[in-house]
Amino acid sequence: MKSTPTLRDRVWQISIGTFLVTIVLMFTSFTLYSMKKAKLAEEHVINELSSNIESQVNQFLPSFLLPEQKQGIDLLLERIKKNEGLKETKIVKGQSDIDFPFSHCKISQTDITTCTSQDQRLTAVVAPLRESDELFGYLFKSKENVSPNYLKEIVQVAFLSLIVLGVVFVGIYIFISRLLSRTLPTALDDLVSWIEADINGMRADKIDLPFKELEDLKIKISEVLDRYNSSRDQAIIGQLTSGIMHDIKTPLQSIVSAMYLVEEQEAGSLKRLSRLENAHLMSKTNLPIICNIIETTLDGNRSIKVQKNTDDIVKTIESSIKQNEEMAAFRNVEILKKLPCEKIIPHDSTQFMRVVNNLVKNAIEAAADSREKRTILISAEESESEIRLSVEDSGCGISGHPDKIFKAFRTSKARGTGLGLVITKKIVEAHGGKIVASKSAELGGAQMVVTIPNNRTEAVL
Amino acid sequence: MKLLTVLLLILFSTMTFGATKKVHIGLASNFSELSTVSFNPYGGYFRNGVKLALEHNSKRLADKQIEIVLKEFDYGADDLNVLKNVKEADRSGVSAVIGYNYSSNALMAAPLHAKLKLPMLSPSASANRLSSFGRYIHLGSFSNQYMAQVLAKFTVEGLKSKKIVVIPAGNCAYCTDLADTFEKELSRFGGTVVKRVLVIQEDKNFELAAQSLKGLDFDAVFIPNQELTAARIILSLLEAGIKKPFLGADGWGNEGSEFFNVLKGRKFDGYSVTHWHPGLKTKSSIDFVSSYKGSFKNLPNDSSVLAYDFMNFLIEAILSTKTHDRESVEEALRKIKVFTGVTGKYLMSPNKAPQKDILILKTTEAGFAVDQSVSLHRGQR
Repeated sequence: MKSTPTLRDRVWQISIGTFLVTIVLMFTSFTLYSMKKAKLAEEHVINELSSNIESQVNQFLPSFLLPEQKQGIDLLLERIKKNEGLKETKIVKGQSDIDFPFSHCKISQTDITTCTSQDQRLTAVVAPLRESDELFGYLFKSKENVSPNYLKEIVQVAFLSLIVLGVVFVGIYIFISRLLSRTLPTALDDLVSWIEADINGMRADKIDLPFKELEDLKIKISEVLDRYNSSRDQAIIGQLTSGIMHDIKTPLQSIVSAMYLVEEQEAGSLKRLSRLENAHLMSKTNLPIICNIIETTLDGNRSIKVQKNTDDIVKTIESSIKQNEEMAAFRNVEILKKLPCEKIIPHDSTQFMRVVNNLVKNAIEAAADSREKRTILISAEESESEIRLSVEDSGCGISGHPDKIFKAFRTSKARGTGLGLVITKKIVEAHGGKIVASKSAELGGAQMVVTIPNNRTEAVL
Repeated sequence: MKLLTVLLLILFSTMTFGATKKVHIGLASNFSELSTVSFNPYGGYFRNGVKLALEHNSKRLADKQIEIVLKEFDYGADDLNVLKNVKEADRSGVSAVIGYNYSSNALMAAPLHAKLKLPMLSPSASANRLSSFGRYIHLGSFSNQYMAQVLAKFTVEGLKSKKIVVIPAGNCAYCTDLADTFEKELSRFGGTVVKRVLVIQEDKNFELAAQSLKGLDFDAVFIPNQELTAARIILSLLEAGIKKPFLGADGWGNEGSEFFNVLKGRKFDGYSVTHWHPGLKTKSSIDFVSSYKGSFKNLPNDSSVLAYDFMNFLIEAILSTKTHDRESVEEALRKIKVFTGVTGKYLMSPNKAPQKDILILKTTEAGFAVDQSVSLHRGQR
């Protein structure tokens, strides 16, 4: 099975590949450079060999005209060879004396001949030693086209370039490797956290991403999530509406049925009266249910206004607990309380009771699902400036980000609307407080902490 | 009518006899090749000698209604130009050419002069082969053979030196000819050349040549080269710590200003054979030096004195003949058997090097000094 390469592997492969390609290009360049240089060197050598040749011919000719001076020919040849750094200098009698690698060169009896050796490494100049009509021979000089200095120069440049290239590539490799193995994953981690927070309804406005591309990606993801949430909410609303209609239909059907039963009886009969009483009872029972369903739905979508009165909030809390004690007992859940005696604080006792009710009810339901200890703990701590109410349970806790539970239509209950905690949060915030969900350190389940400020001035006003 | 004819004949003969005859003579030398340290080129010394000879013979020439017109042919530093000069001289119609101071110049020119039947007079060239070209070639210097013989005898018998190192310039005909001849003469006197080190005439540093002598057993060094090269070789040998006697020939010169200038006042034992010395106390020499200094404000050297002597020789020939075409001049030159110049008596044999007295000079702090004179008749003293 083919494994997906890591970023580090990919960077390594690309770096090595680029390095090898660069080396090949570099050596190709050097080869072309040396070929060009060899050509220039050949021209340079021809110029060098030719520049003094006429005066040298004049220097040699007397040695052929005067036998006394023949002794100096070898010395002159040696001197020219040394002074000009030549490969070879000699006097040749004719074409037959031109040896390999210049044997292919055709020498002129009247003009200076220049010729390159068969392997292109040497250049020769051959000048006729002629006085009037008499040809004494030829002065032959040859020189290397590419001197060892050229080779040395190329090796030096190649070596230095390799060092520079190596340093550059190591630097680039370290930079890219660090970028891809640390910076980018960290940034992607941040982005994932941001997306998760966004999904959980805790969108953070500021997130430091190192690249503009990631910023753009974040915006795109945000737009996609918004569209997704919007369409999801629309679908949920549709389902919820159907559910509400179903919920309302049942009590309404009971009332309507009771009214039909009344109509069946004769007017003024006792049975009709009895059925009217039943219809009244049915209406009295079912209409608050319908109102409650409608009210709850509306509260989930509108802003809640509270009417604060300076009252004992502990009393409000105790009242709410009491309303749920029967259900706790029924669900076999123990309610533990750690409440102060009294705390006078401005609050809307009716609305705050809904808060406590909702939290306690949720806690009882969560604890009831627990296999072991079924306990909830309701505690309150007071300070000069606020009161802090905590409701904990021994349930399974909150999966995922805790803040997601405050988003509308998100519920873990089979028959929940997903609006309870939304309304709870709205009521708390209407009091200028805040609600935070977390894991209970003491009971291991969820912990909901509500903080309400003690702002008496506001209450007076 | 007869009277008129006689008068016209008298007038014609008066016009004919009264006209000055112009004899064109070529001067061939390296007039433009400046010496490295001298203010005067060698060609200049030669020209001065010729002009002084003309000046001193002006009355004799005027008496014979002869005017010698000089035409210069300058071959500069390039020996091959000598050949062009000879052809140019031939085309110019000169009756003879005097010059070719160096042996290599003379050897180059001689075959062509002989071929063109244009008399050539070389006052100072001494190469042995110059005596082999026959008619039209006239030499004012004794041969290398003679110089080598005198020097070899002096080396072995006078200096008691038998093991000799020879350092000639390989591209100098005078030098190699003299070296070869000396080697033969030396062996005749019981000496031997232990090593020959070839150098190039144009070199300025001879350190390698000096190094090649390290550890070699020898008594003296023979340096048969021209003045500047010889001085530079001696300097390199002295700097290498070689303190043996140095031997030379007429190439070393005799006036010595350039030679000693190169050597920067260094002391050494040096001996050379030559034609003349400006300090000679003979009347002709004193007069010549005085006259030369009067005219040219400096001392003459061997180029000027030999040019002076050999121009006098040519003038003698010109004065001795009525017609001055090349053949007449050649014949007149060949007829002179004995000639006396500032440098001494010349025993001439046609187209061969003359026999002359020779001087052995010694180097001193003041320059060259006459060590001894070798007379043809009395032998070496």
